[in-house]
Amino acid sequence: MSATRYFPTPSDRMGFLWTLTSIEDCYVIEFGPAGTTHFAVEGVMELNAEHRMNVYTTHLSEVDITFGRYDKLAGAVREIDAAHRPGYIFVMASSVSALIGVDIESICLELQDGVEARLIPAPYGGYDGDYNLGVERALLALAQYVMKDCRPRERIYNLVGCNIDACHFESDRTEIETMMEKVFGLKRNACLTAYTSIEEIEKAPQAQFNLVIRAEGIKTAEFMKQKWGIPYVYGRPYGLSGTLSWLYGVAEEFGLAPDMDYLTGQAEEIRKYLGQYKRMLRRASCRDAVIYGDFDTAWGISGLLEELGLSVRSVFVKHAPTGEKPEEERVVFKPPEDRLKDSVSGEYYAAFGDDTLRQLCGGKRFFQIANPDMDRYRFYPLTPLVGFHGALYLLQELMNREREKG
Amino acid sequence: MLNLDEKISRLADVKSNEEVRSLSYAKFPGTHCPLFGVAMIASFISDLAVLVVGTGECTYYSKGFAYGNQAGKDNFHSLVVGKTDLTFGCGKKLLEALRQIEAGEKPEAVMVVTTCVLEVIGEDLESLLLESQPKFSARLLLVSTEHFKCGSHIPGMERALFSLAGLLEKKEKISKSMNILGHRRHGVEKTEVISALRKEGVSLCGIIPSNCRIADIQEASRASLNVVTDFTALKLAGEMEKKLGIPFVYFGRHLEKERIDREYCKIEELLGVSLLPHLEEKREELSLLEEKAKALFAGKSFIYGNTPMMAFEVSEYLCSLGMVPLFIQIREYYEEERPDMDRILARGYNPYIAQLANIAPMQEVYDLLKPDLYLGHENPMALFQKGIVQITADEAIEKIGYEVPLSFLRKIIGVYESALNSPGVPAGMMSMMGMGMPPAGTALEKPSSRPGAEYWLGKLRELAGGESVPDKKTGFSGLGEMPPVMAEALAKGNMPAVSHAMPKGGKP
Repeated sequence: MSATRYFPTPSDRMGFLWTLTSIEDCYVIEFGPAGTTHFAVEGVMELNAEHRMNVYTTHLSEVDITFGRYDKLAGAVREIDAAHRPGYIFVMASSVSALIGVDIESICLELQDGVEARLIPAPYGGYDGDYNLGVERALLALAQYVMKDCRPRERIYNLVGCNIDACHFESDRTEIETMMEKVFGLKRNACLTAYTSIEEIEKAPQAQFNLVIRAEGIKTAEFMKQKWGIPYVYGRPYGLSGTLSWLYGVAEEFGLAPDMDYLTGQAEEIRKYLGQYKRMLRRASCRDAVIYGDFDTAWGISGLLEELGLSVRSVFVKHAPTGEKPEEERVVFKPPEDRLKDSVSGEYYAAFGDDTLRQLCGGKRFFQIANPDMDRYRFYPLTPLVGFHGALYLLQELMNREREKG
Repeated sequence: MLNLDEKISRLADVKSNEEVRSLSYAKFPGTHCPLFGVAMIASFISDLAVLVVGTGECTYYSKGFAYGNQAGKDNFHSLVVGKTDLTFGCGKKLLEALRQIEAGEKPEAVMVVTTCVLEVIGEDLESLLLESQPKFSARLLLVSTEHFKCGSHIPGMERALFSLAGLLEKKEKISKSMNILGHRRHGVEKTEVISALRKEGVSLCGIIPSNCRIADIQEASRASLNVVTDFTALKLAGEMEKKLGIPFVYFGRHLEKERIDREYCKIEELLGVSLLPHLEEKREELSLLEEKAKALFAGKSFIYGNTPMMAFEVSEYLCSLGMVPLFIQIREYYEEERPDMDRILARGYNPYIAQLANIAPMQEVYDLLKPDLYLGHENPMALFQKGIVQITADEAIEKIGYEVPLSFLRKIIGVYESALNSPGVPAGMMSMMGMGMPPAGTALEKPSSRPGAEYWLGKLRELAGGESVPDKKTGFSGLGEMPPVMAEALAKGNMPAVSHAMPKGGKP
């Protein structure tokens, strides 16, 4: 623990809630002080996303804490069950109830017989790790508790790990869906979890395969593979070669025939501007790019930038590693603010990051690739960073900056 | 069927906070916490460093609030505590963080804000800061914000304001000078009270917390009178009276003419000035508006949700205009509101009382009580579909004096008349969102000669074999004036999304 001047790293509890918050018909009851829930609901707006789940708080009093009472929680669970008849209720701890050792799992067991909804315990107080851990846990909980075995398999796929906490999530999803349709003629089944519904998640096992676009979805995909035999590929497509290799991986793994006319058309379009940009770049005295974001975004964009002719010395990741730490030495997890500041205090070509990096570099040659992104709207769904259009969009933005320089 | 008498109390039975019950166990969205209250106050003071000590979410969200409030120029620092810190204490790390802040920004003061988990473990940070103060050149202030001991963000505001007394030292007084305490909007200079006082040659020393730097707060020691415009600053005013001998007048956001008269008289007496003669016109305008309101609202019933004023004072004022209170939602029981509660009872009304910030079970209450009006923030479409006119009164927070009831009455009369004249449009919602009727004679007012989106949608529907008809339920065809994102969110009753879809310029 050390003090931070800029935004601190969001906690696992926040990641868990963010992952659920974009699911329609999802019910969550938080056992904690009301302000915790109120802040969380408003915090979703700061992510440039819509809150769609039904979240409730019990509030907690000093007496509840002193005597370990949970009658408010029991009352709230019964009330929501009776009033809304939801399929599932996530029973969520708060930092306070987790600290005093309220046993959410036992309470769920005790209450389960008296209610129709399936109670899903979420005993997380936000002490276990960063938001990526919460995203991972929430995705897995959905697979374990909500998904139903639905056969037969259809020629559709699930998108696992498209969540509202990622900047550009909506545009990125649109781009991946477009590519899957144009290249393979395939439509998406369930999206875990941006703007989805409980029903959509229940039917996720109908899909032929899973596309996992962030590391936090791997455990879920593994679970689905073990339980229903649904294969998956993990990766996030950035840049021309990155996107082509990602599509190749998908085609090979699942035996799909790509539409080569579409692929060559897209590749030609990008190459046209890629060459132009590389010529522009010859004038640049420094080509160092600074990157700070969620792991898959930061790492993916580093490949894209190198393809464009920029150099990436370090890839700064906002959170601790999900699972095992990658061997790449350039990847730095949770850099201290001073190190980030140093990275933009000297000469650099462009900085790609969140509001913290934007503030640290004074907005100079800055591109937003991560949240928090407090000052901008992001509802237009066609400004991706992934895929062919992501590469084109970023090229366009970089070339405009070059033109502005004159 | 909801039985209100089983769930909650009526006014006659409310004698303490115990009788202020919630309509349900499961609440949405729930009240804000004291940390939010502190952030509301501290983010006004531009050079005050704030160190929030707590969980990732407490620190992150309060930082986000301050960032928004101060356009990215906030001084909020975060010290995120983990399991080890909560087991072994975090005193050392707190001092290290303070040293880091002092070395970096050299602030004149740091407000250390502790959150729920710190209060649960009960680490004595107050003694630690007192003991360590000599080692720091910055003045250290401590504010605790545990939400499990209270029901709202109000104690956080009170404590944050009170803590500022730690920055004050006795100074030579300036005669005929004053501070404004508790005002949380920029532009206090334009308010009625300040304008009237300026005409009488009274100078302004400090406005706390708005328009404020630490030096301004320190300058407040020189004033000869404190005018408290919000009850959250009463404790600070009391401390300033005790410590610095500055008397205070509580000039709350009153609505009743006689109360405002009394507050003005107190200021006149304490400063030896004459204010009421400057305000005759406003008093007369108020009397006229009150007459108009009485004619318009006689016998109309209302549910009180929230306004920037005191719940029972607003309700009693509405009763004085001939309205009938059915249900009043409040944060907590405040003894100061007892006289207004008794006045409502004396009129023969005995409304239901419940805790606020719990809108889900209220939907059933509307069907049960069928009010004409709803005062406060709620889902505008839900109210509109039930035929309830919604009125918000946030503007009142910027006012002091007769302009409070004047702006309040203008608003409620305007919205209610609009609702009567255009029954197909949710007037309260449009007004709340700054989307009222366009100015006369502008392009917005005139319908375009070109066919609009609705026309083409209708044509397309015809092609698709469907009919083009307005929504039969509401008679409101298409929410056409709103951005589609907002319209969709409204139709779903998703209020966070509605406010998200509002222009960002509208952020505080």
